[in-house]
Amino acid sequence: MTQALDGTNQSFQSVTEHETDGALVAQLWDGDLSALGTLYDRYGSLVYGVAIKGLRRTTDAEDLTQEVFLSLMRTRSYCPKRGSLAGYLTTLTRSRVIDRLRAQSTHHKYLNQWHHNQTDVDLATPMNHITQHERRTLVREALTTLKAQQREVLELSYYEGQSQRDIAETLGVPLGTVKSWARRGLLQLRKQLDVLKEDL
Amino acid sequence: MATPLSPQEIQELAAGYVLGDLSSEEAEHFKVLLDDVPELQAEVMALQEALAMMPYGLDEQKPKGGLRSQILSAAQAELCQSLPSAQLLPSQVSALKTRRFQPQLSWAMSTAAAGIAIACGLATFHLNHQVRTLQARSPAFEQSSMTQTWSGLSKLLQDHRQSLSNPDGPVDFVVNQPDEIPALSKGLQTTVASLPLLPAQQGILLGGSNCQLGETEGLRLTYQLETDQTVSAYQLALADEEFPEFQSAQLTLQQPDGTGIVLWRDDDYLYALVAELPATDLQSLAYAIEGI
Repeated sequence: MTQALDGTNQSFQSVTEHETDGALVAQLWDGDLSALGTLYDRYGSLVYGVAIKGLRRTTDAEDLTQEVFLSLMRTRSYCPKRGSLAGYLTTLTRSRVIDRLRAQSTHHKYLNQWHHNQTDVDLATPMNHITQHERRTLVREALTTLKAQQREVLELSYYEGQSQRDIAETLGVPLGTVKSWARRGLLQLRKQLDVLKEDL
Repeated sequence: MATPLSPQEIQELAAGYVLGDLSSEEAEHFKVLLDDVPELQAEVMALQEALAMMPYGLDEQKPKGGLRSQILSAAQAELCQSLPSAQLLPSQVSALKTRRFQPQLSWAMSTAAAGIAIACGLATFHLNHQVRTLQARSPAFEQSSMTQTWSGLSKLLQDHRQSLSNPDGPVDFVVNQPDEIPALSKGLQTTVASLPLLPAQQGILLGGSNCQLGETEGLRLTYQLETDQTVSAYQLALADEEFPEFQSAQLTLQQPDGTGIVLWRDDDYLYALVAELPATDLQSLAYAIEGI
């Protein structure tokens, strides 16, 4: 990979940024709005990307992006020990997207799942040592190795919260097939990310 | 699932667990597996991490440039509201943006808005360098600029004070229902929906008055609060060029004599609340009027 040459510096920068995310959030909760600005500079695009993917309308995505960052400030529910801020923000954004799409409260389920799943996550896992740019490159490359149906099912489920039953109906295939595509798609994604990370 | 599962099947169960699509039978089986094979937990976490990476696969889309300042202003407004009014100094000026106004602020305007809030005496805020630069300027900077730019401000204060000292009472006409008001408004073309109506639990509507601030036609609604304070709520027709651009902001001014003013606008009207009250109290009333 072309990014591998400067990977060391980027990794160092990423670790530093990750370590300071928690400190920035603490500053924000202390009333420091410049910390919010920094966090937005880091993750605004990521949050907006998830929002626009699900909601499709620019104004809705902007509104949701604002909601997510204000929620980070207001609710004080992020805990650095439980995982990365990026993961928290994307999970929150995704759940809010799904809320809006379904017009029903499902975000608690997702947030609870996030809290449950992220307990005692090892912050030194390799994925936390690479930059956002590297992550984007990695994931895009990994996603290209998925079959089209696997990717479609994962995206419909992940970004729009569609149930596999609904997806099966939409695509006109048995539920078991959808399950299989989703599961194998995720396994393939994980496998490819592992392979590609080795190249960094 | 009586027969032992292959590694591939176990992996697929783990993926199903992470995706949340296990059947009850599969979930039960997987729970047992998790207890029996502790290493499986690492597999689950790796899959969760892979799934959480999905957003990085999206095409990078940058939100519009103004969203950052919009978010910061909204955050600032929330922080301002959460502070007791006692923390605010006299001659304070604050500009707070609300979502209702669909901000179109330029960077300069939003930075100025942040600076104005700092000038309120909200010393606990730590703002960025640009804002601190603005803070170094006089707190009266924005207010004097405002006064110079729009002469209607003094007329607004004058109208409010005259209404309070009017021996015939502060209102020209008494209304029982808000829908009576548009017909009684002589100079200003208005609708019930656009009136600055305070929810009944917040204040009693005493009535309305037609007012003229210079060449500006307007309507003044007078409210009495539970605390017996009288609040004038103005709705004014004002050409854009007559008023400084702050359509994304709510501007709050505090006069040395204790009179507070909150100004905001939409596409058609300029609104103002004037009363002998702290600016933050008036802001709360403005939010109640706007339904925020």
